[in-house]
Amino acid sequence: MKTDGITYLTDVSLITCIVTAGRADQVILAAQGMGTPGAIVFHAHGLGPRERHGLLGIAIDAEKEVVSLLVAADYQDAVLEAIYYAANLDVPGAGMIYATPVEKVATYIPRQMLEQGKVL
Amino acid sequence: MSQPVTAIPGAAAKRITCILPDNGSDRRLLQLLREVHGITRADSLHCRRVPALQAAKAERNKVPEASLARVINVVVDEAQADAVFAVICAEAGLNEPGSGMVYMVALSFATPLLMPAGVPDEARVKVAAP
Repeated sequence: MKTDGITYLTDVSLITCIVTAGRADQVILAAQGMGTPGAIVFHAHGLGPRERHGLLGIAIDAEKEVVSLLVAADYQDAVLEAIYYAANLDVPGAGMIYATPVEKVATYIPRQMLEQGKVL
Repeated sequence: MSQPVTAIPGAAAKRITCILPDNGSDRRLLQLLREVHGITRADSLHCRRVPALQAAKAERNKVPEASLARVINVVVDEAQADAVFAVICAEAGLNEPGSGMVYMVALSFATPLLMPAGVPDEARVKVAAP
């Protein structure tokens, strides 16, 4: 097993944001604006008080997108706040966001980025 | 936080999440974990990713074009978490650009996944069928 070249990181948070389908790009752009360039997006189906909102129950789209991104723990609150307002999560039914502490991360990071401190 | 009062079997565990390119490496990893290390609490799902190191151009206020990826979630006991993490890091080839990333979070409780005895693997059934 070859493990040379793998960079191990600690003090990292996993931010997970659940938004209506099609709005993941807003979350990613907000995160990029805070210096968090990487993200993954996958689809999900939401359940809840959908029929009670709006005419014909179409006020909240049941199709969701889940955005996951890793940030340095020190910047967790700032990135959370930026995404919260960019995705309009203060609107009922717009979605939710939460942060999970990560014990450690392993990935490839180019040497020049490590030397410049441009990590997460 | 207090421990749950329950008769359900299980204990605190770790969840190892691995993001890999969608090139079949997830199946190889799952097969290795199951056959070599006896880990059955693992799944793979598809997603799109915007890699941090990808030199993709994007229009102003647009996200760079995403690529397909697989997310593998592996739940392991606390005692073997570090060892499995090291195995996954090595098998995922994380020492190369664009290979993905692996991270580990703590789970307060996880039940074991008991598999039925005497049932062959799905792939072997297909091979044996006429």
